[in-house]
Amino acid sequence: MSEKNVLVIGAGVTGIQAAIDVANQGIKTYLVEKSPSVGGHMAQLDKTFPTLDCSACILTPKMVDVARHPHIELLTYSEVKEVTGTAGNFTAKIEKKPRYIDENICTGCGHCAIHCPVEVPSEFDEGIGVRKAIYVPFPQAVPLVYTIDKDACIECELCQNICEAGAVKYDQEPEEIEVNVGSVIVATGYDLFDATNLKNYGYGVYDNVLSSLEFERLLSASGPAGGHVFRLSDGKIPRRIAFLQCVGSRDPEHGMPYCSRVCCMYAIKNAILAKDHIHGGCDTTIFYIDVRAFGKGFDEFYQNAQTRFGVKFVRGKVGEIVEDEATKNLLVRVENTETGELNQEEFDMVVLSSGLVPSQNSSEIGKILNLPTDQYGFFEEASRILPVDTKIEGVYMAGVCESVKDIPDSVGQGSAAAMRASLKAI
Amino acid sequence: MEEEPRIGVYVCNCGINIGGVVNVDDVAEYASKLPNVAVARSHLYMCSDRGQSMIKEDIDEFKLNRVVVASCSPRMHEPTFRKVIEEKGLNKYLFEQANLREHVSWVHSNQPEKATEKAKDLVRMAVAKSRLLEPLPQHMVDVKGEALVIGGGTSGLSAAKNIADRGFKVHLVEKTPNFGGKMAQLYKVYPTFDDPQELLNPLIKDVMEHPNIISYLSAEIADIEGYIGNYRAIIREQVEEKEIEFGTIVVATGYQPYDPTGEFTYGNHPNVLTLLELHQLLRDDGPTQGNLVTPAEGKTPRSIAFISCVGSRQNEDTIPEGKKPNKYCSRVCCTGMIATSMEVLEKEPNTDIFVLYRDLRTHGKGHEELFTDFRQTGSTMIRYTDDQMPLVSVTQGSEYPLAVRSYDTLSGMNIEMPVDLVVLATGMIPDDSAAHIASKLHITMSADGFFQELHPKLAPLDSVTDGVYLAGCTQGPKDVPDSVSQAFGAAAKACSPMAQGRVEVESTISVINEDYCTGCGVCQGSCEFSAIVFEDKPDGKRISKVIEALCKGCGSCGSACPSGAITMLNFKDRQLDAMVRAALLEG
Repeated sequence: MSEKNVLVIGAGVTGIQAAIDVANQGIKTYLVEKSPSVGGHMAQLDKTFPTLDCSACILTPKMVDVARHPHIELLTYSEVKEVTGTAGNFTAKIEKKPRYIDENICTGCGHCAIHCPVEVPSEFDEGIGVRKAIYVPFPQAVPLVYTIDKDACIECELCQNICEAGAVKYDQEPEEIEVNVGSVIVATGYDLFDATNLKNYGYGVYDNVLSSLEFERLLSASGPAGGHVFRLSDGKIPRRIAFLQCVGSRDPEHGMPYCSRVCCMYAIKNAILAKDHIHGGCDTTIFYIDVRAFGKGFDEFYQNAQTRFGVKFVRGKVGEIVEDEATKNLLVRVENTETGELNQEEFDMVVLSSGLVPSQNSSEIGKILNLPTDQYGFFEEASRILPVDTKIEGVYMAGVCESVKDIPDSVGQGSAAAMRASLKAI
Repeated sequence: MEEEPRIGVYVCNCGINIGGVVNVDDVAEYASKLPNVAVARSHLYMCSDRGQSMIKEDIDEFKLNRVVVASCSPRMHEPTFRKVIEEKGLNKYLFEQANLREHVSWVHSNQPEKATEKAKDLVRMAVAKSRLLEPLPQHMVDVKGEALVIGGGTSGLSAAKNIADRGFKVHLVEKTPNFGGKMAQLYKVYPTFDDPQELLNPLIKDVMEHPNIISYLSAEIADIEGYIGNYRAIIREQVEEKEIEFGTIVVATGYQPYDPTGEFTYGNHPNVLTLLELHQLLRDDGPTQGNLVTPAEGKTPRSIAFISCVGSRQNEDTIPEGKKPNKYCSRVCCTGMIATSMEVLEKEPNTDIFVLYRDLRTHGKGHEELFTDFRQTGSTMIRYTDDQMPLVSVTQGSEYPLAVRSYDTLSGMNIEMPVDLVVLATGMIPDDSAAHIASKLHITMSADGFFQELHPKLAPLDSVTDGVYLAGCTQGPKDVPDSVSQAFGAAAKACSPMAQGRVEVESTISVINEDYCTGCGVCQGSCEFSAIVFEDKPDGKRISKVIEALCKGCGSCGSACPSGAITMLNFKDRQLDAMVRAALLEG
């Protein structure tokens, strides 16, 4: 066991991998996650491209490993507030936010949530489903410990009365933890581009215009619809679904010039899954500029989508969506750049392939660590051949906080940052 | 005396994945009545924290000594549940899993009643086997604290330096006389337009001077064998051979460019080049000292056509006969093509540029912005499709030596371009040496010929062989930063077992009954992993022996053995017999 430690900030799949690969070298690792559970965005996805592996099924073993690893100290519902010092000798102050539940006593039995009378939109289900004021974000959450959302709690004390273990502690205070580490790995991930910024698509206004993550939750067997895709306006099964590419990507006019790298593939995957999930059939059309199927097995997947599954591809960036007020169907207006024609086509549902932007958390952590960023807020790398080194010695980064990338590239970078960070902790 | 089996059975809903089809409570109720079953329960997700603690509590309360979980395929969660029972002091091989998801609910989703019956059959079989499970010894192997890195390109150098910095000795083997690989041959790297030498030279110097790195140049691996922790190789450097021992391996054999001979008149006219060849013409140390001139005439090119996807995304109907189509995208060529055309314009601003592409894939950090800049250059973009490939022809009596003709899907027109140069953005194919390495190390290759990673999403750096890791283009096309990221990551993977010093290997392997073995060697021929060798006994008898760390427990040898001398631990005849009986007799 080495004498120095490593701090990993963010416990999505990238941070999880980084922590495991540092700890596997016998180095004590603190893994800090601000939300109540590890898992990040990957836990929200239904299936992954191009192999259609169930996302949660392949992720949960890693979530369990990270919680059980003898060299990893997991600090969930915690935030890094301050980091001082230099490479080889950093001091980090971490605030453990009050869950109002004693983590050591809660058994995760869930009786409290059954009795809790308050329902609020579930963040994990992208607001399509609801959760209680006392909640775990999703059933496979790690750690499986309940959290009280104080903003929603009406202090009826039902949960406290029902909890046999006596785990509910309304008077819990924030706790400050100080750790000394040789190096830091930042893996603060992404937020989805907020499509309400694009007025022409009616996101947030039209019921049947969804973001890609909302659609993932609809597809998911463990989601609010049990995997049955329906329209939010009337509960009807959609028979015609459009997927719009480059929403908040490759769009300099809206300040989003970069390519988000994953949207082409996730749209193709979701178009295939929609056909699979909707009994009685469903037509899917993807409106694109270029299909960027560049990873291993991706182009083959794209070919299959066309020939085997009959997903339709139309080259053109959609200009406008208009809702038919009576039917809540959506008219999609687009210039087909292959024919030069201006087309208008009706759909039952439209899914926006929103791009990825640096997370709010990245910007906060970036300030704490003084990390230089590019114009969008992604952290800058030290050089082309030091892609996970930030410009601050001893601070490394991995995953989408560095630039947009898919799961295997993020996981690979998680391992890479683990290598670099371990060098400052031996 | 053997303890009476006390079995706990846990049936998982897997959300609605299983529970939506199979009546899980019914299956649990049924299981609770099977002989030796002390407790049977169901839960929403057995793999969740709550599911796991349920098993642990029951082990205490019901004094369980065997556990059966009926859930998904053991491929993902067998290790999870093995750890659960291990934490309660049970031997982890006393766990058995029945697959009610892939084998039941997903394949019989329209027949819930029959699916529930089948689930009961599988649970009954698993319980029957569970009764006869035996605790197995845990095998540990020592890991030698030295690594072998195969390939001295950017990925290999990066991996070697980090492993060495971590304090382990590294043997770095490069088949050419120089380190630096393909990156060293480029004019610039994109989208930053960095000079590759400026990036590489300090790295090469660090590697050459590193006290922990032993470099082998113009060297090849004549032979390699062993298993995690204990590998051995013979390195041949010119005429000298050296034997080395090491614990882990990073494979970084990289790529080679696709050979487009016979396509687009490449090979028939000197002015048809590959993108890498154009880079040589741009370099100050190139054949023309950086003067961009056409090979045939020695004149500054007036117009150049770049063609994308040469050797990538190929359509079997439109590639030359006899060639096998590469269906994959090579990931770097689009950016390489537009960035190089901008370099050309930097040197010769009056050149007319035509870019023939299919989908423009500038997906990396800063690549799309580069493409936006490119569009300001006034160059012509033509979008072709793979069923109507562009045609390059050598002209007769024309002002320009070459003509390119292509259908453009955007204008709907056939366009003819007279050009001085044609540049083919050729894709990547696996290096020549890959097949040899693959067969020696028993690592598999995917359909595209690149090395197959252990899991496409979550284990991109592991090979299927323990102790062997993949870095850079050896696993599939990628650019410099992505390759280096993988190299650092593969280095971390290689350091873990070396830092631990000892690792555990699987115990469900084959064992040979020495009394029955006749030394015929049939088992050796059947073993995909070279895990069986001959051993000479003191009495002069020659028998087969299993190398435990190499055995994957596949069972091939057991079925091949004519003498019945081979047993698969925890897949013994009597254990499988019990399952068959449970399936047929009690149902």
